[in-house]
Amino acid sequence: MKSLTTFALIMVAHMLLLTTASSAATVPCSSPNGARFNLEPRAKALPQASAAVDFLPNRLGAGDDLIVEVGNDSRPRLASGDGYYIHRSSTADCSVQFEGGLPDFTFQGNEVSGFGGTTVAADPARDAFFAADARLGQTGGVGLFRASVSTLLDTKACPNGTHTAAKSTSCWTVTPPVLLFPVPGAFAGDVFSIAVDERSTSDGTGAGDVYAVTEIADNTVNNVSLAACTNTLNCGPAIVISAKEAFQSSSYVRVRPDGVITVNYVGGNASGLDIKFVTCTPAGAPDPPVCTAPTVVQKVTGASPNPLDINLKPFLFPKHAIRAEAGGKFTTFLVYDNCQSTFAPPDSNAECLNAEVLLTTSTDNGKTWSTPVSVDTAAGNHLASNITTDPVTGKTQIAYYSSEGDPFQHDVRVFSSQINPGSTAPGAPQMVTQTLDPLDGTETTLIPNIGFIGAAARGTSAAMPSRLYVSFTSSTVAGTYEGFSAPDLNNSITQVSF
Amino acid sequence: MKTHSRVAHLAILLFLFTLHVAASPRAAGSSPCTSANGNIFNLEPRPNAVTQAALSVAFLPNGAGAGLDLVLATATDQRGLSGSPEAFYVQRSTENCAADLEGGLPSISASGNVFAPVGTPIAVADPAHDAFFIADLRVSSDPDLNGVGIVKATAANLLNPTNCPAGTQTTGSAGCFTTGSVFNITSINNFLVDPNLAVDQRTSGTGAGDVYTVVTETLSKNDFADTSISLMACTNADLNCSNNILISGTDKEAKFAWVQVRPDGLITLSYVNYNSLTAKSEELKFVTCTPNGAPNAPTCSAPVLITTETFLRRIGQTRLEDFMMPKHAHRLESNGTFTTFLVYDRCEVPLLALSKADSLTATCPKTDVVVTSSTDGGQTWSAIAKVSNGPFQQFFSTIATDSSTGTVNIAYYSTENDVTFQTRPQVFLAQIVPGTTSVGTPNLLTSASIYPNTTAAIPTQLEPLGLGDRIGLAAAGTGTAGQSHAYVGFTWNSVFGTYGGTALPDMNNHLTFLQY
Repeated sequence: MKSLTTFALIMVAHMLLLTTASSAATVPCSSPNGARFNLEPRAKALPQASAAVDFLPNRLGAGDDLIVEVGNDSRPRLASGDGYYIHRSSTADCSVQFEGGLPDFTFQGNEVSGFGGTTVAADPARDAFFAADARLGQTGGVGLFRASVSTLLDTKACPNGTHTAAKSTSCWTVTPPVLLFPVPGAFAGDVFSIAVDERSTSDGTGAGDVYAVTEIADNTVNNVSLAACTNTLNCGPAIVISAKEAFQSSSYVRVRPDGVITVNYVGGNASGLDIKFVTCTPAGAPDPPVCTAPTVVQKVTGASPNPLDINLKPFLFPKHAIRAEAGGKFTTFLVYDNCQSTFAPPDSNAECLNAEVLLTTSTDNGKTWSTPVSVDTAAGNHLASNITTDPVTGKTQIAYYSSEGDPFQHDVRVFSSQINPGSTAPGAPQMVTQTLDPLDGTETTLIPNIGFIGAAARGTSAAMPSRLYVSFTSSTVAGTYEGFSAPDLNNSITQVSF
Repeated sequence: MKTHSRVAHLAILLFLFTLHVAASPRAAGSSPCTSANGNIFNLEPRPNAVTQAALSVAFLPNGAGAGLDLVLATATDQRGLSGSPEAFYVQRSTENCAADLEGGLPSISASGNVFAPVGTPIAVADPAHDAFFIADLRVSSDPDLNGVGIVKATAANLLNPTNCPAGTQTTGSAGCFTTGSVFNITSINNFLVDPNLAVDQRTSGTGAGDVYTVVTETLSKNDFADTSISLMACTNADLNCSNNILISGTDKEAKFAWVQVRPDGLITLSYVNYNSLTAKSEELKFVTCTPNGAPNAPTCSAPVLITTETFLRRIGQTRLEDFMMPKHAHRLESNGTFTTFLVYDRCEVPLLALSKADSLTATCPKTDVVVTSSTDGGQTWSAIAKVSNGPFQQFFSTIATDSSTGTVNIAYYSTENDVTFQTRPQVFLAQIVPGTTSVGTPNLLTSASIYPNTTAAIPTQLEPLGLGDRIGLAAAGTGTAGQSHAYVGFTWNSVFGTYGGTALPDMNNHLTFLQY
C-alpha cells in the first residue's frame, strides 16, 4: 500500500515536472498581446510586419494547428524580405519552429527575386500551403509557391531555425514555383491575392485549383487579371476580368464552396471609385475560368482620403468571404475601410478624420448588395479590416485594428466581430489584444507596411471549437540596441476560439 | 493654561508646516500652471487649430503685481499672425499660465528696407531695466536681404491695455514693442538661422544693460553646409548695435549658438561645430568675450573645445529628432567666483549600425541629458554627468539660473514612465542647489503624458516636426525660499483642435512652473 502511494506520488511529481517543462516552453497564442511570430534575436532587431496567415486545424495533433504566417521582414540576411514563419511543433501553441524569406527562382533562364506583397493560403484537402509574392528580375510578376505539409514537416527540407537562401529553396521549391502575370522588370501592379478551391479533388471541375488575381498596369494596359493553376502549379494564361475602367486596384479572390471563383476589386473613373464584384465559373486549370461582367458593390463616397498619419492608414482594400447556406445558396460578406468623414484643409488634400470598417452583404451571388453598416461604431479609427468564414461552423469573423480608448486616436488594438450563421449582422466588437499599441511611433526609415491584418478561421467539426488566427503587427515586444531595450515592430499572431 | 499651550503648540506646528510647504518645490497644486498638462499658453480658437511649438519663456517676478509674474513666451505659430510663423504670448492678469494677449511681432524698417519677421523668436527678460527683448529672423524683399531683428517691450507697455490690448493682435503688435532694430543684414544667400540673445543685468560698468545677440550664418560662397557664428552688441535703450563679429574661429560648420552674460558682464557663448565628414565629431565649444560697451563689439577669445560627441539624431524608436544644442548658465558663488554649467543632449552609445544608420536618419537607442561644469571661465570642464538616471529617452534639455537663490534649473522631456513603448514624454525639471555641482532628484512637472507623433490635421509649410526642437525655461525669484518660479514653456498636444466637427490632437505651446 505504501509503495503504491509512493508510486502515485512519484507519478504526480513527474507529471507536474512535465507540465512545468512544457509550460516553460509554451508560447500562448491568446496572451493579452498575442505572440511574436518570428525567431529574430532581440539584439538589433529589425522590423517585421504581418501580411497574412492561414492554418490547418489540428494538423499537428489535437488542438495543435500547423500555422503559416507571411509578411515583410527587414532582415538583410534572409533570402528575401518576403518572410515566412511556421509553427509545426507538437506543442499546441504559437511558437515558431522555422522562418525565412521566400527564395529566388528561375523564370525563363533568369532569376526572379521577391520584394513584398506576400500572401498565403492553406489547402486542407490536399495538405498543402501556397504562398505568393511580388517578383522582380529581367521579368517580374507574381511568384507562386507550393509547399506540401509533408515538406513543411520534413526537418531536412525545412530545418528548424532561420533559413538561409539554400534552406528556403529546399523548403519551398519541391514543387517548382511559377511566375504569374509576367512583365518586364518588376511587378508593378497593386496588391494581389490567391485562393484555393478547397473542394476534394474529385468534387468537380476546378477542385484543387489555385487562383491568383491582380491589377496589371503599364504604359499600354491596365486591368484586373485572373490566372488559374492546377494544384501542382501548371498555370494557364491570365484573363482580363475588369471592365475597362480608367484604373483598377485592390483585387481580392476567393473560391466559393461550390467552386465558383469570386473577385472583388476597385475600379475608378472620373466619377469616382466603385467596389466591383465578378463571379467566374471554373473550367479546370490550366484553362482559365469563364467570368461574368463586373457588378458594382458600392460606390465609395468617401473618395480616397489621404491618411492623417502616413504610417497607419485606412486603405481601400475590400475583402470578401462566403458562407454556404442551406439549399445550395450562399451569402457573401464584403468588408472595407471607409473614411467616415474627411477634412480638407485650405490648399491641401483631404484627410481622413475617422476611419470605419463597413460591411455589406449579398445573398444573390453578388448581383445586389445591402446598405453598408459600420462594424464598430465606437469612437476612434477602425481600419485594416479582414474577413474570413469558417466553413465548418458557418461563422464569419471580421478582424481589424481599432484606436478605441486612445484619446490621441493613434494607438491600436486588434478587435474582432463575429457574424453568426443565419444572421448577416456583425456581432458586438470583441477586444482581441489588450494593449493600445503605437504602431506608427516606431522605425521610421525601415517602416514596413503595417496596414494589413491577416485572418483565417477554420474548424474540424461542429462539435469542437473552431479557431480564428489573426496576424498583425505589434511593437509590444522590445528589441535591444547597444544594450538598451526599445520597441521593435514584429509580425505577431493571436488566436480566438469560437 | 494647558489648553493655551496646546493651541500655541499647534500654532507653531502649523507655522512650521506652512514654512515647509512654502519652501518645498511645488509641482502639483490647484494652479493651472501645475496641472497635469500645465496650461495651454495661446488664445487660438479650437476649430481648425494649427501648430504652435514652444521656443522660449521669460518673466519678471511679481512684474504684474504682488504675487503675479509678468510672463512673456514665444513660439513658432502656424497661424501666421502678422504674416509670420512666429508669435508672442503674455500672462499679466492672473497667475495661471494662461495668455491674456498674444500676437505676431511688428515689421521693422532698417537701411531703407522693411524687414518682416520670419521665425525663431527668442525672448529674454531684463529685470534691471523692467523690460523684455525678443530676437528673431527678418527678411526684406527687393533687394532680398535677411537680418537679425530685435524688439523691446517695457513691462509698463506690456501691462498697458491701451498700447497692448488683451486678445489676439494680428497687426504686428507695434504698440507692445515700441523699439526695434535689424542688424547683421546680409544677402539672402547668406542665410541666417537660430538667433539667440542675452542681456547684461548689471546697472553699472562697461557693457551694463547691453543686449547681445548671436546668429548662425550660412556661407553660400563655399557651400550651404558651411556655417559660422556671429555676435553683436546692442545698447539697451535704443538698440543701437555693433557690427557682427565672428566668434566661431575656423570652424566650418558652427551652429546652435547660445549666449549668456555672466554677473560680472563677461559674455559667454557655447555652440556646436558639426563636422559632417567625420563620424564622431560634433564638437562642443565655448567662447568668452569682454564687453566694450555697445555699440562697440566685444573682444572674444578663441573657441575652447569642451568635448566631442557622436552625432545625435532620432530619439530612440520614435519619430522625434534631436540635435546637440548646448546651453549654459552661470552661477555666482559666495566667494565671488563663477561656476558655469552646460547641458546638452547626447547619445549614450553609438548610433545604431543598422541599415538606416546614416547621419540624417540614424537612431539613438538611449538619449541622455548631460551636464558639465567649469569653475575657471570655461577653460576646463568637469566629467560629463547624466542629469537623470531615468531609463529610455531624455531630450530637449535647457538650463537657467535663478540668480535670486543661486539655484540652477534644468528642464527636459523624458519618456521614462512609458515602460512599454518609450514614446510618451513628460516634462521634468532638475535642480542644482547652491554650493554643489551635482544634480538633485528631478521633479515631474506634467503628471500626464502625450503621444508626440501626431500629425497636424492642417499641415503647414513651416510647421516643426513633433515637439519642435526645444523647451523654454526661465527661473527667478525674490531670494526668499518658496517665492521663486522656474517657468517651462513646452510643446504639448493634450488640448485638441476640432476639424470638421472631430476633435483631434493639436500641438500647442504650454506653460508650467515649479515653485520653490
